[in-house]
Amino acid sequence: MESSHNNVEEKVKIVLVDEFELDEAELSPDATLYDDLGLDSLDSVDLVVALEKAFNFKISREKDEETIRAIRTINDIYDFINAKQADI
Amino acid sequence: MKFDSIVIGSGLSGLTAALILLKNGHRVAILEKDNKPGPLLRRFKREGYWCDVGLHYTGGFSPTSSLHTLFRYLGLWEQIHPVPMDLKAFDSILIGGKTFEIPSGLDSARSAYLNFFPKSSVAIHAYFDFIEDTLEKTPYVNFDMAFDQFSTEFKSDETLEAFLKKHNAEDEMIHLAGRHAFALCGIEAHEIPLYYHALILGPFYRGACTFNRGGDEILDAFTAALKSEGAEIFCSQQVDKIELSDKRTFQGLTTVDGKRFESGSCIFTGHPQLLNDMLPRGIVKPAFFNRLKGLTNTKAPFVVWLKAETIPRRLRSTNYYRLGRWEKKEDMFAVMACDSGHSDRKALCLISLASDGCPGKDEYENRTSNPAYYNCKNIQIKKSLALFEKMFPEMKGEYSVIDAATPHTFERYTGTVNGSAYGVKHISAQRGLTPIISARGLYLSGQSIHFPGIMGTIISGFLTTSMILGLEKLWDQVRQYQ
Repeated sequence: MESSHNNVEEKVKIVLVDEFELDEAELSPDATLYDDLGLDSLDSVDLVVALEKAFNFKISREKDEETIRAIRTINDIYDFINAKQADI
Repeated sequence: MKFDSIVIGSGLSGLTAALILLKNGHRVAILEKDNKPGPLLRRFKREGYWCDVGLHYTGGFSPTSSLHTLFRYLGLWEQIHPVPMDLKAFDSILIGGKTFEIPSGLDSARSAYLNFFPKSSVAIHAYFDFIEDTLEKTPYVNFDMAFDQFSTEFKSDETLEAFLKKHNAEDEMIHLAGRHAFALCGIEAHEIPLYYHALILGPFYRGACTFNRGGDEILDAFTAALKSEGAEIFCSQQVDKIELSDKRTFQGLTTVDGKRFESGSCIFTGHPQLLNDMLPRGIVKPAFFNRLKGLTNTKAPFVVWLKAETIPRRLRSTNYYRLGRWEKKEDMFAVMACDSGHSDRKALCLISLASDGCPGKDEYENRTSNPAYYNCKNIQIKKSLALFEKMFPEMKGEYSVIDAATPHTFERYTGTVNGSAYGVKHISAQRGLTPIISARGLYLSGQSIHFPGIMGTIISGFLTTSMILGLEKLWDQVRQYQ
């Protein structure tokens, strides 16, 4: 279990560094996407698409929208991905 | 030069957006790469015959249609005179060795389908009920609907095929509805979301029409209104670079000629993948560029124009499709009369969709020196003529070829990537682009963002402009013309 979690964290970090040009050193689990990392609401759809591609699943417009909207920190992303993968 | 808003591209969505912004007091510049506005809408004349390019026929002009309201709001309704196609058969579709004539009117189309496929009656009723419901409940088709209600009800990604199978439709029924829509928007039944199919095909079922002067009729109405509202239209102006501030806010743009335009907002109506070379790297995140790169497009058309002293009677107000077998991925082939008023002396369009454009781009660029391009083009022309003569044997020896256009011709004139007929594919498996992207003040509009066709692109112009003016403000203005 532990290794798959680390794997999720690794992959999310790769997305944030490669696709959003963020500094890996700043990607602590409690860093907030908007305030700490400088992303804004206009980035959210691009982030969803990048995560879908990285994890090869589809984020549903019906089921996942509220969860996606509630994402604030990097840790929220990990939790969302882990829950999503457990679902599949 | 400073403006309130810049519209890039003078296709139907760009013309619509510009006119709405002008009506709301903006100073507007329209930039067009071609030397005249609306290269896809505009007809051309060869050997005394008018030839249609992008607009062949349309749905959405039936008496109950929302386009009436939108055109009245734009002040163009008086100048546009839709001519209904054959009510009993606007499209005649040959598929799997059988011919299906599709009549205008949702009830008539439903009865026709029940007649074609009596064993699929449950699916057919569910299908037409869904289409009626969608048209009734879509806020930009029914202006009394609220947008938030729409977005909560229409989020399903269910495909047309999944929906019809669920209701035990026969394969032939799925083929017919699916391939008919493929011809009109370039997406097959197993990929197209059901609500999207309903919004594309529904307006055609309600009634199909043409215009005596084809796309020119719409284009001339728009350009006259734009000029009288004070639009500044700059043709032969290809955008080179879009400038964003460090905070990713639109500032202005430069054209290939080195002209600079500034404005508070900008609507880009070209194929979105063209933004790849226009937006500044380092400011726009790689995630957006990767998203653009990952989009798949609809197929490109190959068109042959013929001239004939008289065309077969049945072609006057019916389009003839040969849609082939879906599972064999055969091309869509269509024969349509070009719009030129009441005369029977008309040009005909032979259109294939699904041709991947055999000549390479480089060969096209060097086409005068590269015989491979012409060889390939000639093979495609011969293929089209053989199909045409099979469908209309009485025309053997009665026509001659005026011109032909390959996917690369379309790419050159319309700027759509690889000549793709309907732009980006709107499919369940691909998250589409919206008018708002990750740059403030820069908005997207056009067939790749909302829907292809007259209705889709005009509505796209309205929806994107409403992001600038305010959704409720613009829709309140529109409702006054109901």
